Amino acid sequence: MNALWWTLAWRNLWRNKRRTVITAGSAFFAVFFAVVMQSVTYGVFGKMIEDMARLSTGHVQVQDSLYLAEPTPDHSLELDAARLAEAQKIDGAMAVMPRLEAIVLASSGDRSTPVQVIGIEPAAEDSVNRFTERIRSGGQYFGEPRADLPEAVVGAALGDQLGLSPGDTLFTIGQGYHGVPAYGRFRVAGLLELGNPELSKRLVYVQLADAQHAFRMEGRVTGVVCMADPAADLEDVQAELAALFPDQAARLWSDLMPDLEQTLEGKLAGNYIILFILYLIIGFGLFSTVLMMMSERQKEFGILISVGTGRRTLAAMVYLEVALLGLLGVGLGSLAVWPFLEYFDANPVQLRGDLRELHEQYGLEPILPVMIEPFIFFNQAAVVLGMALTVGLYPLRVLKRLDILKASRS
Amino acid sequence: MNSNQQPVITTRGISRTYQQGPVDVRAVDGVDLSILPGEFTALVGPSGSGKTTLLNLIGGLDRPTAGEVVIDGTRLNDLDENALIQFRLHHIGFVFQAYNLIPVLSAAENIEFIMLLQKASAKERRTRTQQLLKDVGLEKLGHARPTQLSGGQQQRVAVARALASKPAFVLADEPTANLDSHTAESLLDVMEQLNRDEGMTFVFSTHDPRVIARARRVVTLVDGRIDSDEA
Repeated sequence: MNALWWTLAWRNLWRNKRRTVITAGSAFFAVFFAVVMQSVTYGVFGKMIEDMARLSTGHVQVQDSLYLAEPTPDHSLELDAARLAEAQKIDGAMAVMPRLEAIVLASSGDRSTPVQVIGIEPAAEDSVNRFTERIRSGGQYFGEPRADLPEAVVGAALGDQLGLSPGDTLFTIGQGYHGVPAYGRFRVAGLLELGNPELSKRLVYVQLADAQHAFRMEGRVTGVVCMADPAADLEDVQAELAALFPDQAARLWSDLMPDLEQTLEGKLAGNYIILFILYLIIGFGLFSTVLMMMSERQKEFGILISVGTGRRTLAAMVYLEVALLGLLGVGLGSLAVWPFLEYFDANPVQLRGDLRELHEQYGLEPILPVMIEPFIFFNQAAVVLGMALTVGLYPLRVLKRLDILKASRS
Repeated sequence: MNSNQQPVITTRGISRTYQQGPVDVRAVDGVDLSILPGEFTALVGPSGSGKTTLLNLIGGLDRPTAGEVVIDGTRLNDLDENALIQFRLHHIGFVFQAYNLIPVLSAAENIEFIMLLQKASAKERRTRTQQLLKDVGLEKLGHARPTQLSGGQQQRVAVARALASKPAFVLADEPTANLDSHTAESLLDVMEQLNRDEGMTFVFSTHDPRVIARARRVVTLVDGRIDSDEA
């Protein structure tokens, strides 16, 4: 396209400066607010997923294929040390940890309650979850191995419920491999402030070897948990784990915590409704600008067609104007929001009051995290630009039907 | 004028009827007209006599309800909308009463625009634009936007724009109506010179006695019919 077309389109934009500034400004703010909103939403959700994955399922977990439907020791898998070592080397895998999980009845004194015992490798889990920093004063994470009793680190709420203190004994009874009764007797090393009250009320961590012994599952685990690098593509990590453990199932966090995924999808849907309303308002704003522009320039269009400008050529020229208008707003909006988000990524908004307490109670950092991912920028910019380009179709219709004599006299 | 020349414009029995409420208004009524290359013709007549309608029919901006228009050997009745636009672009130059330049383009760019539509090369566009600006006496004002030019200067740019496509003829609808006497004379000088030096055919619709005085042929319309045709 010749430079004169661009010149013409660009200069036409500025024939009515105030209107162009207002219209481009509306696209600017639409992109700005939509990107900020989505960035905060994805940031909060990302952090929530991260926290849940760390404490619970991991980003990807290798399990026996039947374990998800029927989580019993019988659907465990044999731990292959060589494969585990290979899994550690997978691109994007930050930590790969074996776990053995079982539901048992726990008791202390005359109190008992169902709990989830998780056999872990303490050092590996601590590197991911920083458990040592969450041990309630007076206890410890896992101490030096002692010959008398295996150790357990108990969720603080569970400890309170059972009246446990460091040094007390916790009894468990459950079902081991192939249905054998599994009795356990553990000395409480410390109480763990898990933040999440639900997890705090039901989790008991023991060393993996002790769990294997208690459940008669020597050499077996219920899952191999993988924490992925934040930049990694989870589906790639999943595929690599699946290739490494061909007889087992490598499942994503979303398969393992469908409730969480549905909750997040529900909240995202709410966001989309707000964005839809925002886009609708912006769309009508753009449309009214184009309507006015077409109405004001009827005569000019009539004259241009009279002197030999093809209707398609003219339509392309007007479409270019509307596209430039949209691009102007979208481009400036995207450029402005990027440093804004970078700032709040480096200096997150610190939550105050009840929200802060709530976050701390759940063991979450009391901040409003943002996510800076190209797809957020691209999606919002594409929607606003798409609207501009859709609105730009209206002049095509008008120009196709334009009566040049009436228009020239208007 | 050579009588053996083929007419550049021929109308045969053209009529144009408009519906005005329940009444049919015949704006042009069975007009036969031939214009030869190099003519400097004025279409005159009182308001409502059909001058502008006839000009629109000759320019392919409107279609006759009866009769035919032949321009440079091409029967306009046979052309569809897109072909007609292309035909106008390459064969007819237009000058309007209100100049109607593109306000955001400079004088030179307004002239170049037509050649751009014709897909002329950049070099040809530049050369011809400069020549046309010179022809209309505005070689130093090529960069000026229409709002920076006087009415007379804008109309000169409009003439240059009309000539940019190397048309067979120029149709000018009341070209001096918005100009003061001195500016109108000056514009007529330019058009007369182009007619004389380059043989460009001009057809005006006008009320302006100054234009009528300069025209070498005056066709008078009354009630959509040719009342007189004086050379």
